[in-house]
Amino acid sequence: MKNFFTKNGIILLTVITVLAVALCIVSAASRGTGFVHNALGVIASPFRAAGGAVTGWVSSISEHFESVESLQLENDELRKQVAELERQLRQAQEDSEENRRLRTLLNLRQQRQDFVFESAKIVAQSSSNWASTLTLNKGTSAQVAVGDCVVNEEGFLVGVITDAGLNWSTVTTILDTSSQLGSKVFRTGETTVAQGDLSLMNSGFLKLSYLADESSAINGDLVVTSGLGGFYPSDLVIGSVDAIYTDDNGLTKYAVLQPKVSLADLTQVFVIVDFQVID
Amino acid sequence: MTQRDLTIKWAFFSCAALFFIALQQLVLNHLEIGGVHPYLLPMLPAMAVILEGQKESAFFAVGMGLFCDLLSPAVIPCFYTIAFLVCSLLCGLLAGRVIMPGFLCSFVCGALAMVMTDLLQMLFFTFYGSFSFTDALLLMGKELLLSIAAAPLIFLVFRRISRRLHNE
Repeated sequence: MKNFFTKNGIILLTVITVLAVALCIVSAASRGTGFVHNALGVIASPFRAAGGAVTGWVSSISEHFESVESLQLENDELRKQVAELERQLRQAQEDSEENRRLRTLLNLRQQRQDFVFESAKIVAQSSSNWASTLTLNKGTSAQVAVGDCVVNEEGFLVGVITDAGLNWSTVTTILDTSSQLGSKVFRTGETTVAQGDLSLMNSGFLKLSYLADESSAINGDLVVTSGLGGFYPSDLVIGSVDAIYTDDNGLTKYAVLQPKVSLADLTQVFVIVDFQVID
Repeated sequence: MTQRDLTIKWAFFSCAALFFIALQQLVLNHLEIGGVHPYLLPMLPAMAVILEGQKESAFFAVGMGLFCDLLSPAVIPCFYTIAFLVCSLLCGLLAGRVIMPGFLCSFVCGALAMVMTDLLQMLFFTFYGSFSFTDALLLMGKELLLSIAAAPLIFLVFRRISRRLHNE
């Protein structure tokens, strides 16, 4: 067989070429679909169908890839849109939360018209177990000064500014051991000192010292700043009495105070940059 | 070791330290047990001094202290800078001279760094505020117990960096 094509290949090729040319001439010469043309069409049709099927398969694959590509592009675009919408949603939630805080503050402003507030965001919190301080994003450029009281939107005392730079300030919270505030039991008017205590600080409590032995303070009593001396504004809510104990000397009592403000949840605070001293 | 190798080495140590600072700020600060959270930061310069010696580690401690002072407020400005430098120098006296560098050394130096930082806190408290010594000791004990378990972990990370860079 191998030799057949070697020996007769040229002859065969010539014959096929002559036949093809002849068929072309016959087809061209005959009108309509001639027998030869028809027969050739019948023979060729399964091959054409197979070819068409292969072409169709290949093109469908390429179309598939094209559609995958377009879907991926669309998917990327949609992902971007989702991310953007999520960002907008987060912003809206933040704005809504800020709006709520400002509305509450507005209420406080109406109640305490002698206060001048400066809003500030908390940028850092002390990571030590030994101190309870916050860093704010406002400083002396926004009239914030050392000794200013810091409250949340409801007017609950957070702490006092102990350091102030141009665009930053440090708040020593009411829980810190260095914090000492003149205070009074709201119900009885008894003046005391609210101060941070190392053993209570990490539990989120502070100490109300120098309660007289005959003090009528009871659990749940509200404790506010006394405002005595004019250093701090009066009637800022510090917390409520959680428990009352007798001091080691047996003459005085002290109370454990639960602050009204939740320091862990704070993101924004308000510095009282000015207030009217009431004699 | 060339200047370039030194820079690369301390850049890697700084990255590891950054990781632990981020862990402290983002996770450990919110993980309170008995009102106290684990506190790893003083152990970082201590681990560096065990592996790299006193001289270079002192600079690392100062850098880390400055970074921590910038990041979070402390009882006085530059508290961490001073505390970490003191920890680094003290741990440098122990590591390699009294105790061979290793896991035991990491425990001892970690504990020493924690205690030194807390003692400095107490020292500053005596000037800046009032505190009960018993309460302070109790807090120091709690903090130490909660944090010391992390010392070998930090040591392991730092040792891996140190070995890899020394081998190269």
